[in-house]
Amino acid sequence: MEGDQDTSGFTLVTRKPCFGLPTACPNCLPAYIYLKLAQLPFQLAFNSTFPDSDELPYFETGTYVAYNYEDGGVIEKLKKDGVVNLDSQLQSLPDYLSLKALILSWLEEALAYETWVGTEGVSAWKIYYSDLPWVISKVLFYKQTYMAKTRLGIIKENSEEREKQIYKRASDAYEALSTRLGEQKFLFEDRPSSLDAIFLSHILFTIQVLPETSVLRTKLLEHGNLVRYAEKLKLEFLEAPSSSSSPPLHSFPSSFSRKGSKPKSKSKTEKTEEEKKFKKRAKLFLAAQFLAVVIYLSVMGGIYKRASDAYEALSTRLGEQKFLFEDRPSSLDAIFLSHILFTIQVLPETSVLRTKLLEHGNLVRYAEKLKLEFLEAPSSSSSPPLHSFPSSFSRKGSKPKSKSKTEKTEEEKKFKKRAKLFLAAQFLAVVIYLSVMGGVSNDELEYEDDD
Amino acid sequence: MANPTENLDPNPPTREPEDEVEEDEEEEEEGEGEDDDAVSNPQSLKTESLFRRMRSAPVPVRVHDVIVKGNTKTKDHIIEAEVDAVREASTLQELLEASRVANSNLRALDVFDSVNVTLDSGPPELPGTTNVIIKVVESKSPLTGQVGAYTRAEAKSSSVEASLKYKNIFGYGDIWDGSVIYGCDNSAEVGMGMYLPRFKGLPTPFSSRLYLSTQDWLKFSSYKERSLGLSLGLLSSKYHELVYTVGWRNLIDPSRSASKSIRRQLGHSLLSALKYTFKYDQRDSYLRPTSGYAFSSTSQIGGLAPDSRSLRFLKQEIDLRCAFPFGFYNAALNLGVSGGVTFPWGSGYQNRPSSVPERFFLGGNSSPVCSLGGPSALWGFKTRGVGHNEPKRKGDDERDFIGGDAAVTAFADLSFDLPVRWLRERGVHGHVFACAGNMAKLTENEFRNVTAPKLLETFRTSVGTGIVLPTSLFRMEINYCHILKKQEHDKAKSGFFLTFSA
Repeated sequence: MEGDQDTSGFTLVTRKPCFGLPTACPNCLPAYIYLKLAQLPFQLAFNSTFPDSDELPYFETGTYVAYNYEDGGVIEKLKKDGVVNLDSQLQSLPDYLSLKALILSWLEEALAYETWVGTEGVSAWKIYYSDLPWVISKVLFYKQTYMAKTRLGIIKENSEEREKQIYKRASDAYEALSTRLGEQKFLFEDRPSSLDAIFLSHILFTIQVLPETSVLRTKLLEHGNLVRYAEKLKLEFLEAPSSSSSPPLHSFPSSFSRKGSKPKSKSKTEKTEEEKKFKKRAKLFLAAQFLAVVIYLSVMGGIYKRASDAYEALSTRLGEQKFLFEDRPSSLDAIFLSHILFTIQVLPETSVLRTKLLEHGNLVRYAEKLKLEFLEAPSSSSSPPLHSFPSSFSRKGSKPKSKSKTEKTEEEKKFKKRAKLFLAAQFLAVVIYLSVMGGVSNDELEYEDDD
Repeated sequence: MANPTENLDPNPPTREPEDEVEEDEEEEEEGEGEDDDAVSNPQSLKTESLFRRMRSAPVPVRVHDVIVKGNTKTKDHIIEAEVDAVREASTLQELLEASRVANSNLRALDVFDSVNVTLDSGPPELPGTTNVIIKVVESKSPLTGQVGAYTRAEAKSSSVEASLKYKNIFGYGDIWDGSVIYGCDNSAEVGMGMYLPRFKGLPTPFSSRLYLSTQDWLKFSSYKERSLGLSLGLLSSKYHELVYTVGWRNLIDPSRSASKSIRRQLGHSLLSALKYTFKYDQRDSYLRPTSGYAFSSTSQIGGLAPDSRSLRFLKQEIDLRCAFPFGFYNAALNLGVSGGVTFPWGSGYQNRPSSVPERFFLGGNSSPVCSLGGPSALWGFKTRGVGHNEPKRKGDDERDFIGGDAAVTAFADLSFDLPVRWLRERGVHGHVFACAGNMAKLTENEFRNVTAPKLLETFRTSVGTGIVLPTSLFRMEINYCHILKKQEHDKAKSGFFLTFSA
């Protein structure tokens, strides 16, 4: 923590409590839970007249204020400023970033959709507008609903498809996280992390705030271990030991009893099938993680920082392997190879993303090898190797050089070659995808490129 | 317009009152008409005789009819409503006075290029009667533009306003205007207004204004105020004004450096308030009063809406001014005191803070001599430079001034002519002054900590001298102020200051 801050008198300012939660706002609840997991004593204050503010929640002590719009959110800012950091030893773990990408991209998107569109804002009205006069509430509600749809890329023509995509991804993410979590107390070992805070917030909001007719809620409740995970953490960290006012989470959906909600006695045959299912789910989980990372690269805000983190994680994960998964190519190899080829060969040399990618030599070598083996004929040596393209690269901040007329003509030729190569890479990615994935059921590996 | 009395022959002929009425009417017909018609000697004698009669005793007369001519668009009843007193006149003197007032009222509607009121003889079969003929010429170009400097009641400082007016579209004397206003208090406003001299049964004109305004207080209090609202002038007379305002107000902090109290206030609110102002100003001049007194009281109640979530507050401001002439060098002593208090109402009002825009802020570049809008001006102290303040967000050395729930200011100003004739002819004069002011927080149970000795102990005071330059748009002062007493963090220092008042 910074030197001259008052170490007592921490205050977290959030939107008002509702639905049995200390704060019902899905942006504020993660910060609240994070501080509770960190067991940092703080006071809670409320602002119920600013539903469209991106500053809330904010954490203050003395003159220090950590707003939510800075540095990727209050939690990241508190970590960065050294106030409280639950992830200090977890960030280097290969799973950390992929889990984070999964939760912050697919689940957050699903929650935003369900809050503003899927449930027609029924819950949002109580969370954000109950303390504002009707006229102001109405106008702000329409404004925020419109902004949510814009952020989610929903228009009239694609609303149904987008809805299906969002729910499918959420379902896959729940499946993957359920597999990852098992019956553990926390996502990582036995210590809480910021991802527990965010994920717990998601579960609590989905179960307690969204109406019972919510599709997302129904999908979440299919995973009993996630509900139990949330229930345990809620009892331990969010509620006083003597308090028993809020009912247990799993009793909320009194009408539900879906697969996986309760353990059942199994026969030997079923256990074998369970094992097979588990293996498939494990593959699904790993694939979902990496796909989420790739999507994270192209979609999420804080783009360059997150892209850099993603490259770092993928570089660590890949090492000097030939493929991402063992020795067999996967759709993720196709998508990732396509990303690398496009970034290096199509984006200009001044591109920040390109520069960041080129810092990871093993990723370039990985792409080079696959390109030579799958995309080019063995006798052809017309296209130079990837790592020689940017003759001044392999360090940060390579600058463009002035060109002569002759070089410009060569640039045109190179551009045409690159364009052809890119189209070929895309076609080949599709072919590889179809051929490699032909033996796996479409239900398990039905990913769509987010772009 | 030809004032009926101006064209009367100063020496009207002497006649018996009853017999002379008809003749007088004939004389009036000829002598009280248009501007500079020459009269013959007999007419002149008659007029003189009439004047003598009017000086000696009331001349009875009865108004038979009021005839309106020249209005192609304007409705008859709009014009006739301004001349009600004419019908009720029972003497010639009253009739002349009422005609003068009617003429003035019709011109004040601002929709006519010219107005003439003529007294004509009544029907021959009805002796002792007269017809009042009102001839108007409607404005040929109903679109006008103007630029001016004003002090608006809503703002605490002067502002420059540019407006475009479209007059009498529907023939009801209606004036529609669009205006852009820029205030010295970092405010800007765009608005559209409508003015009706007669609206249903209301005795006074009705005005309405739709506005979108921004006030930038980032430098002083780390917030910006944006408002979209509708203001209705329900009553507007010489002494009374009643205005209802409903608006959507939003406080934001784009600088993200606000102090704790201001951060808590950011957000949206609905303002639905009724404001009543009583103003009695008998001073001889607004810009340089040398005699007379003025009293103003403004009461405001907010939260007049079915929705209990609208902004609920009470606010009261009082101003008292007196000017005493000394009789030499046109010197005059102006004394003034202003006070105000604001408080929220509704459930939990004691623990709730007041809304920042409703609070009082002292300091600025306006002169307390001119302003009659509650406690605000204090020579030598910068805009919002007095009172409670809090440190801004870490990393910013500035402080936010958050205002007070109660404030009081007082001043004494001695103005005098300068010995240079050239300056005297242009109204430039000098003055010496002293002022004092203080504020206190009352909400959130802080009123228990407010004591008179503590208030007196923390009073801010300053003295100074300067030159006053009255221009056609505003009054400018170039002053040297010396701060006698200030508190920690107050933004005040001794030196030269400019003030503007309109």
